Amino acid sequence: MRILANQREFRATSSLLLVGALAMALWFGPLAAAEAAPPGQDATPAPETVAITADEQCLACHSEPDQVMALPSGEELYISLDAGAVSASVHSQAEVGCRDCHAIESYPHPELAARSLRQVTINASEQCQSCHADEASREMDSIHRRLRLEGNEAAAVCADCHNPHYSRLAAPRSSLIATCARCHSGVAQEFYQSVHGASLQAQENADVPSCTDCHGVHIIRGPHTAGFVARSPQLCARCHTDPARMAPYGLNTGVLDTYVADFHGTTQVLFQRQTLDQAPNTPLCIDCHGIHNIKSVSDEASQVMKANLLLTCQKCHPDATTNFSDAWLSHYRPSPEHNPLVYYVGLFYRVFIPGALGGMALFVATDAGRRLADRRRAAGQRRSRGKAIDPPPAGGETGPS
Amino acid sequence: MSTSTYPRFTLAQRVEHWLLVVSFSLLSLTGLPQLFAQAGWAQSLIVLMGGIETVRLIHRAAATVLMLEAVYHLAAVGYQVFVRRSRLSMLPSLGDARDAWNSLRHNLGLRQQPPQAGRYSYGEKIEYWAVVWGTVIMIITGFMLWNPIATARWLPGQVIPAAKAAHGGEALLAVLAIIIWHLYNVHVRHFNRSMLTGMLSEHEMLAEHSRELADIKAGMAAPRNSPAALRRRRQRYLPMAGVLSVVLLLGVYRFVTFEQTALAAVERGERIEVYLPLTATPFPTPLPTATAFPLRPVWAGNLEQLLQQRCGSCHGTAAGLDLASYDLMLAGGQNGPVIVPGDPDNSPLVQKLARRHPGQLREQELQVLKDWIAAGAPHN
Repeated sequence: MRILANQREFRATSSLLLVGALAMALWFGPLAAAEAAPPGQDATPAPETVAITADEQCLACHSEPDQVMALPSGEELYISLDAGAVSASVHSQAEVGCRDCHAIESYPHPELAARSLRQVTINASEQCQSCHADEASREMDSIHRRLRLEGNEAAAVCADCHNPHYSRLAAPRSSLIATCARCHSGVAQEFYQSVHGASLQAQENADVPSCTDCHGVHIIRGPHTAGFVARSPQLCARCHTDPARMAPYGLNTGVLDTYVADFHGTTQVLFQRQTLDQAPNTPLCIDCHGIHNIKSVSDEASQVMKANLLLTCQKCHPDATTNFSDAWLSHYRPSPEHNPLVYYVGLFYRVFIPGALGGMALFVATDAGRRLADRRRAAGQRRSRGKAIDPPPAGGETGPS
Repeated sequence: MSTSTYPRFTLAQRVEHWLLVVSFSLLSLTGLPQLFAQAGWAQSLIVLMGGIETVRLIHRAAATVLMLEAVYHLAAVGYQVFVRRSRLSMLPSLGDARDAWNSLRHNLGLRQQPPQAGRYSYGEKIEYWAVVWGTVIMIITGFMLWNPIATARWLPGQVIPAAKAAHGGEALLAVLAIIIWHLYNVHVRHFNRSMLTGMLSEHEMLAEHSRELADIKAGMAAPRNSPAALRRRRQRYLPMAGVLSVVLLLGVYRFVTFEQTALAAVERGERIEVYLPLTATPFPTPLPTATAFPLRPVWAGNLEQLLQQRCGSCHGTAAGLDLASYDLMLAGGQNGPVIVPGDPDNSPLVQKLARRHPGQLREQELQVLKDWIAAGAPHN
């Protein structure tokens, strides 16, 4: 649920106009180094130091187009900004200025700590947490952060997804895919082909999931962890058991119940209850329907299409033959129309069990009643006899109790 | 007289009974939580027993014990019938229906005497045949659940979920019947110890098997078998029973080992490259240029704009220089004029810019500035 709550916020702050991973975060540096070497008489003039007190001063230089700065790594850092887009950005609107993030108080600027473009982005992202503490602390538990701690510099940091200079609140929901696709383009291509991704891209459909709906925002967990895999049916169920969301498409909201009622689903539920350290070896939604490439069940490329179902079963049951896939009830609840045999067997036991047990209960109840009555009568007789004559001998003639 | 006892169950029969108790209990304990897998109690119980994998293993082991016991029971019954030629006292008859009816009437006070039971009362027959029926159903449906691929090779696939429904329904019926019928009749109504001792007292016999007691006393209960006849029948029966048992045991073995239902480890996931960064363009798309080109070497509308834009954020006040108008520009700053008309190289403005002053001009712009000074810094 926490994931859902964050989603709107992510969508809102997610970027537009993101212009390439390399120049994501711009560090305001001195103007093009090439111009620094002066011609003529002053061989090495001492640069003048000027205090910077307003963002206009920054933009006076940095709104000049196409300025680059050489980094020790040999890469070039693009240091120009579109002043108009900056002033329209969410940060400008919130009166967050250049020097709130860039600790540069004078010109010429202090030397840049970052040695490479990647380092520039990583360093810049360190600034975000001073305002966005909640998001930053959630991000601490993300797979991206873990990979970075393991030494993978390519793992995403704030500025890889959020452009601090140009981000606006209103971005189309589908643009999120493009954001993730900067690194996960293979997955994005797959997703665009799916029933979800195609609808999101073509119609901005609010009913279909985008990346963050399943993977989370900021606290993006590794999708290959056993826990994430094991819990994935609940992710699917969040939308697919929601009648309001499914109604426009005529989709069955009993998919989770029918899955759980089946051997595979029962096992999954029980397995999940026992451990989340290990992914269950029974199929989950994703094993039959796919992951990023989920197709409509009426699409002939769907893995669960009747014609393809046996092949899907054979992924785990290589010896399965034609009839085998009918053992799966296709998310139908047994009824006289769908899976009548299962329905009538169930019906038989729904009648037979109470019938048989009721009969037994009748005998038991009447027998107990008769015995209690007999015993009371015998006790009464004993009492009246005891009054009249002597107490009866031990082990009298009454039946066993 | 009341101290004499009568044999009720042989040791072998008692061992059978306790084998059945153990396997049935284990099957119920491991099976019912699977039937009610959605319930919290069932899930806790399964976790307690070591998880679903272990629970299924126990269930199958107990089922195997039950099947082996069933094979033995068949052979033992055959021995009673074909060798000892015992009376078929467990077969149900019309008399049992009459006994049941009379028993109900007696319970309701419509009849003085309870029915007289023989070796097995109608209630015991119900229970015995319920176990037989239940075991057969459970073995058949259990086979289908244990070996679904083999089942689907011969039968429609839908039979498998139907078998699951029957297996669960039958299990529930069996457990509840044991609780209602067996528990009441054998433990509540009268605590019957014959499955421990093998004996019933005369008193118990009188109360529960009075017809059998009468038969025993009349010498009619046990068949008369001469040792020679017994030996002869045994010689015929034992090989047959042996072959049948071996066949059945092989059947149990096949049942248990028939198929590996599924691959133990499923390869899960997609075959796509997950991390595949797009090749970044080295630079962003060029932004609109702030300065209008061509820039002409005149103040009005050209250098006026350029200097205001590039220098104006400081030089409204800094160093006393204000570039807001032509006159103010010409007046210069606190150190005097910033341009020497006609001599760009000696103009402080040009010199400043050469010394990495903030607000650098581009090369083209600087050239226009120099041209403008060289031309005498005209207003327009």
